[in-house]
Amino acid sequence: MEERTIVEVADNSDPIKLSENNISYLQKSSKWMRFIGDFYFFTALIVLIIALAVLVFDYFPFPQYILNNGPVMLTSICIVYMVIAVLYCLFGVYLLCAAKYFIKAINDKTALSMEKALYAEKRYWKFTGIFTMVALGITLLLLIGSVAFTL
Amino acid sequence: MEEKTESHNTTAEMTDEIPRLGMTKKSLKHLKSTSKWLNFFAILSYIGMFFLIITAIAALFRQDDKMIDATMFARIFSCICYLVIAAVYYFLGRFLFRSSTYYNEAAILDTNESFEDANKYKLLFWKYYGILTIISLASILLLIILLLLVIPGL
Repeated sequence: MEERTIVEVADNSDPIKLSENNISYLQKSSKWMRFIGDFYFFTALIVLIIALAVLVFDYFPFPQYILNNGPVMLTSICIVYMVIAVLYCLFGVYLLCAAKYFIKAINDKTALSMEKALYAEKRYWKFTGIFTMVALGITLLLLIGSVAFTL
Repeated sequence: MEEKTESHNTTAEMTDEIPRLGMTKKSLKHLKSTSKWLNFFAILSYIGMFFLIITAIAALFRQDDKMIDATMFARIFSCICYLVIAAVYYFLGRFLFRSSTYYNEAAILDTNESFEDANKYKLLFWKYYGILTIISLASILLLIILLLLVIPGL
């Protein structure tokens, strides 16, 4: 309770007292975050190329039963790939945003810029967390479905 | 009344003794929220590690009629591979868990020390993740080159 009272005093325009170590850690982690963010975009590009290859060339080393089902199946696969590419782009955007705001916070050293950076970081982890939960849920459903189908 | 004054003085002393970072209330809320998500991922990493260890043991003691004695090496090799991946997951979980703990501490205390520890583990996590990404990319590239060399008609 006492801590909260102290915290409430901090205003958006107030300077933040970051130590040298803190600045160094934040700078270095921002660089790695940027690298991973760029990697997400690179992956999105690769996935997009695969999606277009599926659509344009009308052939990909898929199992025969997929190829037999014709363009509808291939278009569906292409759409799935595109959705994955968009998701990777979003991961990249969120991570690059967080890295950018942390660099800004180090330069500005204000409570407001740090707030923005921490919000961007939270947004990235929240998005990744929700995505992971959905992916895990779908995998579990597919697993249960396949087991039920086999029985 | 006296108690209240005493408590107020203690708070004032604490404020003087421990230099605060001066983060806003919203910032501390974001720290707390990030800490929860980091904890979630740490738990997932540990679960992944657990399953990988089970898979490694299963790979070692797998009974397959098609397998001949010569494949014992393959069994041990696959077991080691799974254990290496489990170790990778362990360190991911460890960095995430430590980061989560210190983020939570920073959200409560708002001190340079706690925020420093949180950022230290955050840096370790991203560095580790980045190095893993570089290694994976290099491995894929090497595999493609090897495939092209081994199978020229590919």
